[in-house]
Amino acid sequence: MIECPSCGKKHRPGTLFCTECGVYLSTGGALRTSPLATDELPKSRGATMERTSPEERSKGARSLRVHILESGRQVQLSATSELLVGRLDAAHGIFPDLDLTGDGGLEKGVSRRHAKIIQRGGEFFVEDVGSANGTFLNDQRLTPYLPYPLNKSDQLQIGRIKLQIAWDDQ
Amino acid sequence: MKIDPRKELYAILDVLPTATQKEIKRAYRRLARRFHPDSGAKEASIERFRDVEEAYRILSDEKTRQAYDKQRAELGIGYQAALNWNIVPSREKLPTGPEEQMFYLLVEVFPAEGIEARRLPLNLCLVIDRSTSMNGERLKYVKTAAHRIVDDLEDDATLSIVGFSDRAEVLMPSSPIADRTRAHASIASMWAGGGTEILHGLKAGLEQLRHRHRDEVVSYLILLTDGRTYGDEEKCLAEARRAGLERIGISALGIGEDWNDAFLDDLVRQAEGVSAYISYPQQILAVLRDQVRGLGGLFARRVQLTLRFSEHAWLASAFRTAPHFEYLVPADGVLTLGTLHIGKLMQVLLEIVVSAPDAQQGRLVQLDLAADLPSLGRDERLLQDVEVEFVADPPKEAVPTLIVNTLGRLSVFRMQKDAWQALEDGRQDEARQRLERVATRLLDMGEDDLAHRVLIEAGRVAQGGRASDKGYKTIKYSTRSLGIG
Repeated sequence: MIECPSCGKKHRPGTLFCTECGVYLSTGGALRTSPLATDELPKSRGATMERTSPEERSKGARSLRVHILESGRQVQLSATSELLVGRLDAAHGIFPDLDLTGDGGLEKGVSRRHAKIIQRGGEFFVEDVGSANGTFLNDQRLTPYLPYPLNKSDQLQIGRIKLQIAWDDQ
Repeated sequence: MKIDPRKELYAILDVLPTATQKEIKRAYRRLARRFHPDSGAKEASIERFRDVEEAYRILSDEKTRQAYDKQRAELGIGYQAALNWNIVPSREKLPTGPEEQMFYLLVEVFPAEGIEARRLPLNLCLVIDRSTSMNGERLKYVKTAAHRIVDDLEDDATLSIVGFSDRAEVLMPSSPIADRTRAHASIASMWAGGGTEILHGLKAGLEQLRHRHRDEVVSYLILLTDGRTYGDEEKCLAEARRAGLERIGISALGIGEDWNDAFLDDLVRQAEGVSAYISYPQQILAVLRDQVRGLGGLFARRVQLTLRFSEHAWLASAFRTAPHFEYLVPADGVLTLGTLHIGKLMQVLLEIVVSAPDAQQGRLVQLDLAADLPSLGRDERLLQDVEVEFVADPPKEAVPTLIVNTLGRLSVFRMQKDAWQALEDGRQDEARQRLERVATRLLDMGEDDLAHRVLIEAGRVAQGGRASDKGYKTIKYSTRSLGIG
């Protein structure tokens, strides 16, 4: 049996919401993302806004393939101009397109609203949306609320979860 | 492989065009045994056997089956499913072991793409409460709304109007709406006075509808009332049940706070209708119009889902989650889902308990959906086995957002229902606590107004031990609609 972290009621494994208090059991509902010890995180080297060469840019909205290195999970994300990365919290109405709950998101410092992957003019950008533990692009911590261009070989890190992102050229 | 689209392969195998691979295989085995030249059976025939072999070869391979279906569709002789569904399980893999697991299944049913359903003529009866309590604003707004409905109705509609208090009068017998003057005159003639006995109005209204009821029209009775009926509830429910079987629908609009919500909900459930709460007379027009508009777009009625569980699984609870939240109670494994409208979606959520000490892979449940499609003049059936894999140590899977979203909103609806139950049972403290939790969830969801409303009622319960009728009805009928959108 699993226990509701909020009211203590016991439920069968696999139960998603506490029937007593409505808490989402997979994340413990109102649980907050706790800040990780700073030595666990790569040092911030300040943000840069390097532009990719025109050849590397491509056109049209494309779907993204995400490989989550921690869990080995591969996800195909639909072609939309903006994708939210974070941890699902239904009670607060947060439904990320890429939900890292099942990949150890809470323990690895992923915020419910952590980062956005943006497609604009055929290019990909990543933007930290004020996460507790930061978003890293090739080991550089990103300044929140600033879009950074994303290249194919880049390694993206959400809290302490590393992702590899790929897309098809058109 | 050569495919001749003119050959009736499904008929040869004696299966539905919607048959599963399992059914196709079963049919093939049965027929092959029967027609095999060496079987010794009287029906043995090398031609029939070859036909069965060929049909199976094409239909057992999804690729060639699709090619066959497509070619038939292009020739205009294909079977086109009119209903489609989307079945979403909470997990694909479950752990083996004796411990009971919770598993969720979300089923969405909608009209299939490319299906042109025509609007059916409406056969409508307005049954209007004109008891003393309706005097003034309420009857005034009901009359205004009724006049507007008369103007809105399509020309092929028929309308009847019944007024009732402790007796009923047919103000306008069922007639084609072309005669709008008469309809307006009969609405205008209504005055308030007397008690509320719903049975009389219900009976008179149903009788009017029956005059014009046919398979290819949509017959509905809409009851507008503001009071309680005393002593004739059982008879009303029996009338509604009978109407439901005749495929006559009943919807009810409750005005103000004094009507009996449990009774009206029960009444409309018998006859595939909806109940609605109107807190201000000014809302009558909008709600009534919305109801009447929906009726013309009826696509499927008597939608029923039969659940056949394997020995490893059983149903913990079932809900319809769209059009609005409703508890579903299975009768002999059958869930009655009501009606589906053009351009709309019906959604059902099943909470299933699974326990599999030694299973490997298997069917948890078979879903069997049946519906009557009046605008196409046919019945439709969909069949699907839901299978999961049992493994010793299943990987963590992300639960589909659709399930989490729906369940999260549904949990608020369930919590408020439990709160009212606690209050009814005299457990005031528990009721207050439950209401406060509902308010917390609503605030999280951004439903601030409703959350505030719930907190006020929680305060009332804490002080006086009871909630206001208005607060209770507002909360009940608002949380019911949280799932929409």
